[in-house]
Amino acid sequence: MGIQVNISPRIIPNIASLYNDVNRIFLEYIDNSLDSAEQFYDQENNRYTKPINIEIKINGTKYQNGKVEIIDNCVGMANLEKIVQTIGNSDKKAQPWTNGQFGYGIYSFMASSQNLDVISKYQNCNAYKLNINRKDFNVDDVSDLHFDDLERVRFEQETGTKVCLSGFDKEMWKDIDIEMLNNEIEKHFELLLLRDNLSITFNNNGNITLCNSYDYDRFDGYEFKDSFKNLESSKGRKFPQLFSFNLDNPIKIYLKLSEKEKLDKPPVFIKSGRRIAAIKDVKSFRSKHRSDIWNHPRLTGYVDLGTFLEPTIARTDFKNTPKSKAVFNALFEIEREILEFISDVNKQQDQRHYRALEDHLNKALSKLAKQDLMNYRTEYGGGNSTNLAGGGTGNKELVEGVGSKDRGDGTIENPGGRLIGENDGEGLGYQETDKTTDVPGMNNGDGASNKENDNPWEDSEFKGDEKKKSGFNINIKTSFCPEKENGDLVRSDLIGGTIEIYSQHPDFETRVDNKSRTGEKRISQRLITYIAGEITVHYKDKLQTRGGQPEYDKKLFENLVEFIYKFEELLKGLNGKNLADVSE
Amino acid sequence: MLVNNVKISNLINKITPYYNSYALNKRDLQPFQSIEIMWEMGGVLLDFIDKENIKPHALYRLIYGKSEGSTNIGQKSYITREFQGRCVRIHKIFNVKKDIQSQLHSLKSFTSFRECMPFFDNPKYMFKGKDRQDLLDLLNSEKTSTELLVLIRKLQFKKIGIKNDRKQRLNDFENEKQVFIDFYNYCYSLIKLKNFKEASKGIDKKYYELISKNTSALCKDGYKFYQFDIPSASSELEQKYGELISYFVSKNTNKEVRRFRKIIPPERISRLAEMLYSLTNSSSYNML
Repeated sequence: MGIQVNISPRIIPNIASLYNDVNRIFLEYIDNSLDSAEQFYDQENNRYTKPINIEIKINGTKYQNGKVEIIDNCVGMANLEKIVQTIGNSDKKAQPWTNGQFGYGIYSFMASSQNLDVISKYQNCNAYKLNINRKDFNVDDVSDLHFDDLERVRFEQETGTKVCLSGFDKEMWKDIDIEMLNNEIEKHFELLLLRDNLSITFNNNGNITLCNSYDYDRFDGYEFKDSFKNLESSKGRKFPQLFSFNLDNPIKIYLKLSEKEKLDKPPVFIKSGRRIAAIKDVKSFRSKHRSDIWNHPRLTGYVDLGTFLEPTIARTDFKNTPKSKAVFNALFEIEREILEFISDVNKQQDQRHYRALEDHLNKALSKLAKQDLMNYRTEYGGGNSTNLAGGGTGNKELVEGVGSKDRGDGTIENPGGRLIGENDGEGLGYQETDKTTDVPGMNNGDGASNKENDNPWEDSEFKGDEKKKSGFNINIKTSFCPEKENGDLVRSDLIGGTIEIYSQHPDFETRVDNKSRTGEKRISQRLITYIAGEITVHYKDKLQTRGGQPEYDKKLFENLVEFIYKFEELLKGLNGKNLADVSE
Repeated sequence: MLVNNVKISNLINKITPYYNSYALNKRDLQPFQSIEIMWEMGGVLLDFIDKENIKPHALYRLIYGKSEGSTNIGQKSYITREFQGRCVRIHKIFNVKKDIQSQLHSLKSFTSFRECMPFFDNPKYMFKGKDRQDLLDLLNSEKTSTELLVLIRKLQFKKIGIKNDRKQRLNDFENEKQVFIDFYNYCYSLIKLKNFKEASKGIDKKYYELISKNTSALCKDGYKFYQFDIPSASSELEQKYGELISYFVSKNTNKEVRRFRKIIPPERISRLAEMLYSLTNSSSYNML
């Protein structure tokens, strides 16, 4: 005969005190209801075969008389007394599709309240009530712990269970937060809430609200999806033992990176439809990318493990098994793809944000160019004036091209009225006022964007009049940086009537403040000066083409620098701004 | 004769005040005053031509730079070749400056005079005696500039007959133009799919990146071209476009590409380069 063990019932309320958040306690009972609903779940169609209703009912406004009830119409319990007869030995342990392990969750009420009534009705049976009181556990020996017999009661539904928590501790009652609880339910059971025929409602003293699954569509963003079916891991170093797993239900990865909104929901591991923990917090998952992937402020989503892994007792981590290793290995491998995905999205966003920046530059340059009557920017009035490239005016279609020309001697002509003995000057035409440009006799394809019949370009579907406005079209190009014949990279250039600034040029890149771990870019003062300088070069060149040969003296350089300063001044509002905020 | 850069710079510095006094004040100047300024500038140029024994058009190119010559000359000034040429011609038409005011006292627009210049200095069409006086009377008459221009055009048609629209050589590129447009529209149709996987199906990304860079190099003189081979699996359209690019890559001068830019606007060329590049990676594609 060995040593006999006697465990004091006091351990139960002591363990319950680990629940320091009253809202988390309610989740345990909702979780139990959802476990009980599993019998009605049709996996193929992701729906319950009967409408499942779970209601969280809050009665009373003071802790002395306040009650919280969780009522469901699920299977109910055939042996209600088993709850108190088998603490630590749940039937559900043998059911991989449910979440319970130890049957302990039912005692979590002890962290917040004195009393728990459990009323349950199994099909074709009577309804019974079991009362559990926290103070009954304040005894030394299990043999001193007794419960009243089950009481036969009325139950409104054919089957189901109602738990009622009462006798709340003052502080815990005060901490009940419906909104937070609602949020927690939406996040904790997000995959279960996607099933058809399930409703979880709050009834707060008559105010009824419905819980919905976490809505990934509520913010704009980019999705990353993948799944694992075959997993492998090994154990031992000298003679490694290999483990291979071929899963019927693959592990699914769903991630979404918001466009700009910071989200308070990092990606989580989900097991049996319930959140286990945020991936960043799972210690056994030793990722090198906790910060830049799993704690990325704009990334959310989940890794749905199905029933594959076993969580630890605390349900904040996973047991260290070949299975968990295999899952983590697969995740490590895919992290590189996720990083590329984030980087790609950031690049795409950069391009969009640069479109917004172009608008700021256009406006600033337009102000200065008005004084010099430099009208090289094309705008389209009315109608459908957006083109494929979209974005700011900096990217709008240009039409002057080989249209009207600056003849170099200051006169302006169009090729239709070309004169004998005249030489083509290079460059663009200019108009002193915002007149509608029409270039007669031009049938070379350019400038035909408003003339559908002559237009060979399928991307020119503009409506509305084309107008010349002060300034230039500015385009910050994010594709590649052209190279000169001597191998130097081109910083910017005037192509037709568009000043193209190449953001891939090292001089541009080093001036973008890019220190954030999320890859967000910030406009530095140095970048403003750089852009102002680049634009000034092309602007002044064009101005001289029109206005005369510059005389090479100090004044020329002073004039150049003065323009840069003026331009810089108009852009000073952008200094320190996140590129993403420029469009706001 | 080889003229060094210092001499050209000095010459540019000499003619700049004349050019600027014309360019910056042309709206306020009487037409004959504009011609007087040009006459002065023409004199400086002629002196240089005589002294350095250089051909006039070679000098104009040295002063202005960018031109369709067989050698590349970077831009050195903003004074165009045609303006320089006109100044020299004016200086030759009028022996002394005061003749300008006396002969063109009531000239209403410089354009009228400019159009008549062949009748003053081209040995083939030059008017003499009474004809010349009649022409001067016409230029000094009360007729509006538009009326004058109509009459001058008739005169040009009758006496000269040839209309040089400066586009003859551009027709050489009709085929290339069509290849470009077809390929441009094809790429646009891929962009319009809004589905990178679908759009980039069968695309040789390395090749597209190279022709994207080469296309971009067509936008402007001085950009680097990259050697490439057209993949054997290319479609007919890709093949033709590849050949078009190869043609420009193989040229030692920019003469052809400059002509091509007169048919296809550089913005379009730049846009095609961007579309091509976007077909090589999803992030660029998704932003177009």
